[in-house]
Amino acid sequence: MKQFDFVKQKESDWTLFEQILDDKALAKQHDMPKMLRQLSHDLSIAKSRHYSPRIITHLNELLLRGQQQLYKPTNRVTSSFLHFIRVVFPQHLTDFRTAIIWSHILFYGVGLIAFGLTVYEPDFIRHVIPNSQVVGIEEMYDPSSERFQEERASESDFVMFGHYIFNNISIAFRSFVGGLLLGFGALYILFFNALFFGAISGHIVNVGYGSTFFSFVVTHGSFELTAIVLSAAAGFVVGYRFMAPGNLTRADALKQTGKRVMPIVFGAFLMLVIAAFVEAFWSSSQIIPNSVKYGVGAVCWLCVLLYTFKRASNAD
Amino acid sequence: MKLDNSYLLETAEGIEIKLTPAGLGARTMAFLVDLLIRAVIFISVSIAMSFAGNFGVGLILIALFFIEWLYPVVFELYKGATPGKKAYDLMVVYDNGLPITLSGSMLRNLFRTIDILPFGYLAGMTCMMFSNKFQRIGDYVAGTMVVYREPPSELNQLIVEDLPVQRVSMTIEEQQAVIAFAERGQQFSQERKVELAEQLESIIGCKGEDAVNTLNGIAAQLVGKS
Repeated sequence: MKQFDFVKQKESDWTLFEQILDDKALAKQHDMPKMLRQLSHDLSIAKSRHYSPRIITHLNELLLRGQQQLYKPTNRVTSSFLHFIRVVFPQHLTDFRTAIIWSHILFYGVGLIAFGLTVYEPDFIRHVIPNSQVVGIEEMYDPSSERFQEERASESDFVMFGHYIFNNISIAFRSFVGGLLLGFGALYILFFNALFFGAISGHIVNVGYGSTFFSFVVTHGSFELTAIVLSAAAGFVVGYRFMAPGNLTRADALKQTGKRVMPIVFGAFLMLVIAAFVEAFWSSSQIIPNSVKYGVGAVCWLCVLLYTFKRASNAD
Repeated sequence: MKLDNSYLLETAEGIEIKLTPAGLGARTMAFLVDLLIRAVIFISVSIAMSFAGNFGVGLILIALFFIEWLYPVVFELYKGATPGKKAYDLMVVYDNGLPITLSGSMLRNLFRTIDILPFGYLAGMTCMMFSNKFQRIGDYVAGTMVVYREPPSELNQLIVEDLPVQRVSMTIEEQQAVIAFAERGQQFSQERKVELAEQLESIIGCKGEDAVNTLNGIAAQLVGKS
C-alpha cells in the first residue's frame, strides 16, 4: 500500500484520537488504550515502509501525547497533605530508620561531647569558633540586654519569621544536597553542626546565660534540630547508595534513592517551617514565663521524637 | 550518520517515540528569561511591601524564599515548564516521556545547588555535555529531561496536480528526500525550490520550474497518487 492510500484509510482514526486528547468527555466514550495500540501499530508500519517524515512526525507526536495522557502518574499534585503527614512520612521514616538513628546518635553524641568539653575546659570553644562570633553569641543571650527587657512588636516578629524561613530552610536544603556530594559529606556537615551546637551551649552555661538561651531554643529546637538531622540522614542515604549501589548501576541507584528519600526532605522542610514559626512568635516572646516555655518545649520534643521513631504499622 | 540529537524512547506498546532533548543554548536562554521574570517579581514585591514597614520586610523574605525554591517547581508541576522554558518551546518530562510529578520537580530543582557549582552552572553544563539526553546533575538524579515541545503538526497530504511522470530508480533515502522536498514545498520560496531542484538537473534533465514540477510528480507517484 502506498502512503497516500494508507493515510486516507487511517486519517479519520488519527483525527479522532487527536480530538480525544483534547476532550476528556469524548475520551470516556472510546477505548483509548486500544486506540493507542492501533496508533503504535500505524507508526511502526509507517516507519518500516519508509513513509514520509511528515507522517512519521505527526504520528510520533500523537503517540507521545497519548502516552503522556494514558500513563500520567496519578500523584501529580501532592496526595492530600494529611495523608502525607499520617502515612507517607512515617512510613519513610521507618524505612530509613537505621540511618536516622545513627544520625541522631552522631549529632547528639558529638554535641554532648563538645558540651562536656566546653563546660570542663572553657577554652575549648576558642578552638571551635572564632572569638568574634563567640562575643556575638554572648550578646544575643545576655539577660541584661535590652532585647530581653521588653516585648518585641509583633510586626518585627514577622520579620524574624521571614528571616528564619529563608535562612534555615535554604541551609537545610543545601546541607541535604551538599551532603550527598561525596556521600559522607552529610555526616561531615552534621558533625560540625553538632560541634558548634554543643560548644555554644556549653559556653553559654559557662558564662551563666543558660536560662535565656535554653528557654529560647527549647521549643523550636525540637523541630529544627530533628529536621536538620533528618535531612542529613537523607543526604547520607543517597550518598551511601551511590557508593554501594548493589545490583544497580550507580546512576540508577542514585535516581532510585533520590526518589525514595524525597518524602523525608519534604517532611524536614515542613518541620523547618513550623520551627521558623515557633521561633519567631513563641520562642522570642518575653511575656511567656520560662517555666511555660520549658513545659511546652518538653511536650514538643516528646511529640517530635515519638513521631520520628515510632514504627509505622504498615511500612514494609 | 546521525546528525539530529533525538532520543528514542521505547514504549510498552513496543514502538519507539522520538523526543528531542534541548541543548545548552536553548536552556541557558530559558534560564535567563526565568531569571529576569524572577527579578521583576521580586523587585515589584519589594516595592509594594516597602510601604508595609517591618511586616513587609518579613513578607519580602518569604517571597524571596518562594521565588528561589518554589517558582520552578510550581510552574513545572502545573504547566510542564517555567515561563522561560515555555518561551523557547521546552518542557520538562521524565526520561520515560511522562509528565513530571512533585517529587521529580523538587529533586531536580533542589539539585540546582550542586549544578551551580563552582560558579555559573559549570557543573551542570559539563554534565549536560556528556549526557546523551542533555541532563544536568539534577536531571540525572530526578530522572527527568528537558525536551522540545513540538508544535502541533498538520497532517495535510501532498497536493499535486497532473504532472509529468518520470521513472527514476532511487534508493529509499533518495525517495524520502524527494517526498520531503515536495511536502515542504510551501515553506520555500519559488526561487529556493528551483535552486534545490536544479541540483538534480543531470538526472531529471530539465531546469527551472520544470525541474520542480518533475520532482513533485515523482514524489506524487512515490506516495501513490497519480
